Amino acid sequence: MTTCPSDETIAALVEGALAEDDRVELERHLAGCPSCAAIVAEVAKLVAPGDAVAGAEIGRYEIAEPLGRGGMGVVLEAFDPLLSRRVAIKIVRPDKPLARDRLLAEARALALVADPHVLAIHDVLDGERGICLVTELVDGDSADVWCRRVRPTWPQVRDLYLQVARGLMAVHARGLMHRDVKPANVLVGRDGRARLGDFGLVGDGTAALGGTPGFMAPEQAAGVAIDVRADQFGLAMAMIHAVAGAVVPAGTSAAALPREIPAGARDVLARAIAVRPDDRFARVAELVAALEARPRRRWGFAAAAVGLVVAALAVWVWPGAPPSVVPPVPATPSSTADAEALEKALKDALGEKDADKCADNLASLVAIDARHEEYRPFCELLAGRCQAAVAAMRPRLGAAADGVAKDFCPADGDIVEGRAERALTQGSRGRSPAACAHRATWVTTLATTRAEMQKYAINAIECFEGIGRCDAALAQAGVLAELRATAPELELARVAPKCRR
Amino acid sequence: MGATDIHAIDLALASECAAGDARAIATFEQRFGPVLRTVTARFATDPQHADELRQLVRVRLLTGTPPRISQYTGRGHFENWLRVAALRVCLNAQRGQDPARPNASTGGLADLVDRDDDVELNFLKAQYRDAFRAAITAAVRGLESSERAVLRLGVVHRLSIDQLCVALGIHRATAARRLAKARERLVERTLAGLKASLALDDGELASLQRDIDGQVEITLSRLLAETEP
Repeated sequence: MTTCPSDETIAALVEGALAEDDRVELERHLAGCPSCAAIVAEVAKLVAPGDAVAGAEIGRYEIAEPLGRGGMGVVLEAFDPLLSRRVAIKIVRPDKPLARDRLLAEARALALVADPHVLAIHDVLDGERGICLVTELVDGDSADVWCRRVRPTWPQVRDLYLQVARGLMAVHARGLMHRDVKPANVLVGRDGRARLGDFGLVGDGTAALGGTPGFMAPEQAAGVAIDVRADQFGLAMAMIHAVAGAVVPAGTSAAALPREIPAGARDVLARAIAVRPDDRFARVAELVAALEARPRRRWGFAAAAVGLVVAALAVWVWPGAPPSVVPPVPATPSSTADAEALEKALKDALGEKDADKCADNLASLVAIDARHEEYRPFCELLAGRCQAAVAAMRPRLGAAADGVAKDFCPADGDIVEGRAERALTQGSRGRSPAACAHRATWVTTLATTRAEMQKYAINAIECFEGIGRCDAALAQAGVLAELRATAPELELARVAPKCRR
Repeated sequence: MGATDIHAIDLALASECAAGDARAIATFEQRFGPVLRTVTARFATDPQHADELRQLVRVRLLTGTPPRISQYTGRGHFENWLRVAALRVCLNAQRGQDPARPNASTGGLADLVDRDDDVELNFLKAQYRDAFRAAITAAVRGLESSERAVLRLGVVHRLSIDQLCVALGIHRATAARRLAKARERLVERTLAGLKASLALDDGELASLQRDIDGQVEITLSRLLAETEP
């Protein structure tokens, strides 16, 4: 057996700082040396991300469950009992001091930029686990997941990334750059709002830090000084990726861009992904203006409105989203301008889950032009008539209509079949004290049969068990015990063995 | 501030601590006390035990001729060096105190499979036992050292994929792939050995495969865990 490595060598191994030859040799040693293997195993357990368990606490925040992980750290869902809200906590590995500096830089950058389309920062903690960044929790998906799920049309993609562009403009206005604009760093909330996140690489354009191949501007990849036009490149590439499912090489001509993008927009995007920064737009604002100036496809909105369904029903399923202020609606519309105001009001109504307002505006719009009937299913969804609404959408959405029903109508009164399963699927999206408490209410609000009541009760017990809230799990076990005419402790032991003691 | 500057400052602190400078030791306590606390907490059974362990780590690091802290040369992050050094002290202390924990075995792999406790082999009929032991021992011997390393950490120490990628300094996906691959190879080779020694047909082999698949973790822990309790 080779001689045991020094402490410094083992430290270098977990830092990822060993040369490959040395790493392989050390690995060979670990294969035959139990005591060195034990040390390596223990140090890995100490510094590896993702071992934060549900129920543990970071500062005043109660950890619920991991949301995602990367080489540098982990993102957890947590609950802030003081403000009664769910938050996201990003933790970097404590053995990566440079990553820690980067996270602090991110925190400072986020704190500078207050914009609805930039992830909001709530808090920074510096504890035994290292630096923790507490941000708003976005109920939704990253844009790449969203794209795979929704298969968006160009208008949806454009509307999404125009929001991201506004966030980016706010970042640039502070003299900062994002440096890593890509779908995975865009969060799409169920409220339809896009937020630019992951500011780990944010900086002022001098330090050489890596972005992501494919979305990284050529000058950034080459390691030369970059400016805001590098972010513009990533933004445009993300839009192309969203439509085509893949990136294209830098400098691709408008003619070679995917056909799903209208010709006018292809010209704009081709300019934004030019190889030379000088050939791009000077600022993101110009890119936005160019995209918005293009004629909108007036009647292609039905599929685009699926995004609004997300918004409307998200608010419905996840109560507590802030209401937005709506401008007064003209009573007797007679012109195109009025129709536009009405459409905006209708979309606002979708966002606010206001079924009556939706119906009123729809009636006025239909009076102007019968083609506005296309909006009707969305108002119907809002009114709780899910089956009718999805049936009306079906000609336009095809098979995707099933997904809409499944994803967004769990509590709908007119699809009785499989409602419990759908609601439970919906419920499995989040685990936190608030989410578990929400699920507990389904026993009375959603269930129609005793079997369903039991399912919801079990679901809530498991949820509370998962976050280590055994007291609450026991309370729910009481509900289940009543349904089954047994004892709470017995049901708790059956459903939540971790809470047995 | 670059990484090198950080190391230079930590190296200076470590040298001053090694020289017994009281102010430096106070600074060390203040800056790295939390790191030591996190390490010792993993091994302590109660707060008092944790205090004793921390004190032991301090003694080992800061006293002696020369004190252990002087071994830090500024090559990597001091914090990580400290974690490893503290872990070593704690692991040694644990081994010394816990009589249930055997000392490092000097025997070969064959010794380990010949231990008396046969619970883990109950799934096999009595006539398969010896063949199974021989097959898995040969299979482990036949693995590459990188495979044995990943199995030792992943199976014996039960590291998660996240922890495994840290422990081996490799990418997460690589760690997952290598662990799965090594485990698969081990099962394959064990089966091949059994097939040869017992002259099994394919049907018997298939049913045996399911049993072995469920048994590998337990038996392998025994095989590789020379210092495990």
